[in-house]
Amino acid sequence: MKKIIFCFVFLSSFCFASFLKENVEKYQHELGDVVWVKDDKFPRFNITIYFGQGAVLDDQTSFGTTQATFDLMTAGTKKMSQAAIHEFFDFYGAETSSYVTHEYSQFQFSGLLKDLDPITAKVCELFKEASYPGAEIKNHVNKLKSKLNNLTSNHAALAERAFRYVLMGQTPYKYPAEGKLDSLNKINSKNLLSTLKTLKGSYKRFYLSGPKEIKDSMNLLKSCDFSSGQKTKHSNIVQKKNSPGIYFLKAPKANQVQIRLGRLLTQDESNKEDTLMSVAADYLGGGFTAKLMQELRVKRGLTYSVGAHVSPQASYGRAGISTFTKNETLGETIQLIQTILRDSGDPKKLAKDDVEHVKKYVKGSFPFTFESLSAFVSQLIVLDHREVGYDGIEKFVKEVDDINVKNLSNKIESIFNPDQLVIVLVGDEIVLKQIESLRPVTQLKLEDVL
Amino acid sequence: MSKKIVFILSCLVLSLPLMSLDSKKFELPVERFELKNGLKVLLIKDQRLPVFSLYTFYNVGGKNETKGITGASHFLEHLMFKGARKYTGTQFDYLIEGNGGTNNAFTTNDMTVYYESLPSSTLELILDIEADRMVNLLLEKESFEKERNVVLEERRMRYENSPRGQAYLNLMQELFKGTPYGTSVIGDIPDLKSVSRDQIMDYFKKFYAPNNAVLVVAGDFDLKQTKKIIEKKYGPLESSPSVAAAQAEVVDEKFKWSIKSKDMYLKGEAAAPLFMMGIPAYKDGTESAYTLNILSSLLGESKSAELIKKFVYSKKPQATSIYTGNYSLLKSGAFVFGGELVSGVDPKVFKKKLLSELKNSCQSAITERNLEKVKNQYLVEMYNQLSTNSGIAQFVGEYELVYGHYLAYEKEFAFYQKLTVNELKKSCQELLSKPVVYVVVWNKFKG
Repeated sequence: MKKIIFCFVFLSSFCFASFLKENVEKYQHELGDVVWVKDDKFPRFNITIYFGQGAVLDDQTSFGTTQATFDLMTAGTKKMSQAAIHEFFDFYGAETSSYVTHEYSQFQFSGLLKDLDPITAKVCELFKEASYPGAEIKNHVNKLKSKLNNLTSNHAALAERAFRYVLMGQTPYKYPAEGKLDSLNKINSKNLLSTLKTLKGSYKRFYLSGPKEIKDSMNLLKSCDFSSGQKTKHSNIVQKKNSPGIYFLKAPKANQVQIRLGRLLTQDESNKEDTLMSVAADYLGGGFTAKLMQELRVKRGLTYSVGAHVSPQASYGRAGISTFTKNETLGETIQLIQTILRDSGDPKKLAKDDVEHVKKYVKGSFPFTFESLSAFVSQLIVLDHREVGYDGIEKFVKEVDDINVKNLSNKIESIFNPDQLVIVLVGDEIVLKQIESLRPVTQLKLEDVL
Repeated sequence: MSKKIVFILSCLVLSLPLMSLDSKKFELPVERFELKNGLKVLLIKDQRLPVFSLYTFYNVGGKNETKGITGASHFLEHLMFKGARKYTGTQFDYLIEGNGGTNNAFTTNDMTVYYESLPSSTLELILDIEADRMVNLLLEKESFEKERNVVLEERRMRYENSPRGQAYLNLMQELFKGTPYGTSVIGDIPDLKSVSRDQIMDYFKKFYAPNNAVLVVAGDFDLKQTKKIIEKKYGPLESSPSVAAAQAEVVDEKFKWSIKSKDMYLKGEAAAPLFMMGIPAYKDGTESAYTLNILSSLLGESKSAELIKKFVYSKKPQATSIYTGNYSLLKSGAFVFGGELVSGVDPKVFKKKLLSELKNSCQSAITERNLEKVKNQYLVEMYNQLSTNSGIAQFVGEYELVYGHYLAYEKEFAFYQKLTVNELKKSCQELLSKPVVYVVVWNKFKG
């Protein structure tokens, strides 16, 4: 691991190649592609199974099925109750979790290396024999519905949900993978078992991190009843551009407004110039010295935090800015953000020193993503999913060096043009008068968003 | 405080049969020394990556505040990023991020902690910056007022627009009523709006000094060279004579419990009842507090934990989530429960069920197997925390600040090793004999 940092400091792409050679091994197994990341600091292991199937394949009437398939795998098998399954994993200090996106899913389990065999065997037992008892499904669905209804107590989470609903409204992705209120009731044993079968037969990739002994787990995983599957082909899903209006969701009695601005990116846009796009987001809202943070928080005290991001996926992407401010300063904050975006997209106004600063920040901070092994593995999973290849990491430093005022301002203008960004707000109605003159306002209904 | 990590290290050192590990792999190679001005320093080398984390712990927090200046410790934490004599304005952040680093800070009732992670080549620079702001903070008027607004925004985010924050604030204010812990760390709004620059500067001069701080560096550095640099940068700083007197004001009498059981039903924007319950407990470093750490894990920190089994994963769930925590502070403590109830569950009825279940758990849940289970879970958590420089630095630094020596975890180790099921049961029963404060936030309550 030391070499990679050394390499980034001294800008040698050759070093990354030797790092990959020494610490990351890719190979074929009868179950699928395997990536082993060596980690022998502690005697523990982590296995992530990537499935090339995600929530977009859920039936819209029972949306949330793929997520529930994973969540309820521990709800019971023919031999073990839910309580016994929980007890088993907890006794070993093992953890299981899942992460479902619209395009793919992940199942992850971890524990102490000495317990690799029993933990892996139990995981396979779940994949083979999960029975999805009706009573547990009902309880799970009731809890999910209760949590969704209670989202009104978490304005930031509600804003994220509303933002997705507005931005992705013309695509099958407008609700998050866990489902929506009116689809959860349709989840049942039959469709969960069917989804599990499909997942087991889908394309898979296995990410193993730990000492070399962990590679033995691939033989253990043979008893999971997996079969090999084909990779999914991802095509562009963005047919229409967002209409750049203001969308408002009421949060009565809030004295602070959640603000989200953003737009969808087509498949073509999100796969082009990855590094430049990512640096554009860092320039605007990546750290404490990012432009939006300096202008909104440091110079004006308008907010506690502001961030910008771009999230390229295989078939689309999203670009967004998120922040919040007290009711009285909503109008001022939105207009300031728009001015900053406009100026940053103008090569005559984008300061060269600021561009050089963000380049140093990005290059210098990149190695830290490798300090945490789980972050490193997550990066590899995303790169593999998008079929970008690990040489993207290798070229990263060179690509950052090629960034200048012109190409960065062009990218900001293209991705974060304020006239093309949708604005989503969650707050008390009292703030509406500050924004009605900016653009037409559409009121969202809570039941539509949930 | 990383109680669980302590426990795990203890298990490894004493080589329990469960742990078939070489304990030498987990020894923390801490180099400890103290400068003449009272600054305590801990250095832990790890050359796995050419990066380091630097933590500076100050012994100042909510416990040191008085009426009129509540929130001063946290406000000062914000202001520490606004410029000092050598590194002015926003230079601090630009130097850190311009070198690819990250930095942040946090304030609790007992301490204020600043931390950075950077490439190894910048260690001397960051030590220079930290030494500068330790004693030379400027508190310029314009940035002072802007940061006041930022803190007020943070308060709105954490408490005023958050039912969970609302419940937490009310619980802590009631549990620690009449003590310096009985206000929020962010501070009361009138105090935040009125506190002056002079008051904050006085507070800074009282508590920010080498003899009230612990410096920890973990990561890739040259030991000899780093010791020299620390002596060079921090050695000339003068210790403060006011620290001892200021800390002497934080006397045990001020933190004595004087509460009765109370239920608080608050109107707030929670569609389903959100509850928190607190019971007065014990201060950090006591065997009673250590015991409650284990009890908390047993009751509410995993899917098979007793309360989660009974209320979240039962045949008729009462809650969508439940958690427990033993909140031990320097001068006092509280055992806390919290969660969200399923829509339709009556919070008043739930409270009775919860207390009844706790009473049963004191007998039925405390078994040898469950104790063993908690130990296994702690081991895994330890690996996770100690896998980064930041995790290691925070672990040793907290012990050094709170107990005066980082090796204080050995006492905690030894206690966990010999803790018996009967002692745990006794502690559980004692807990239930104390007053209980129960807070619920729900949109169906009247205002």
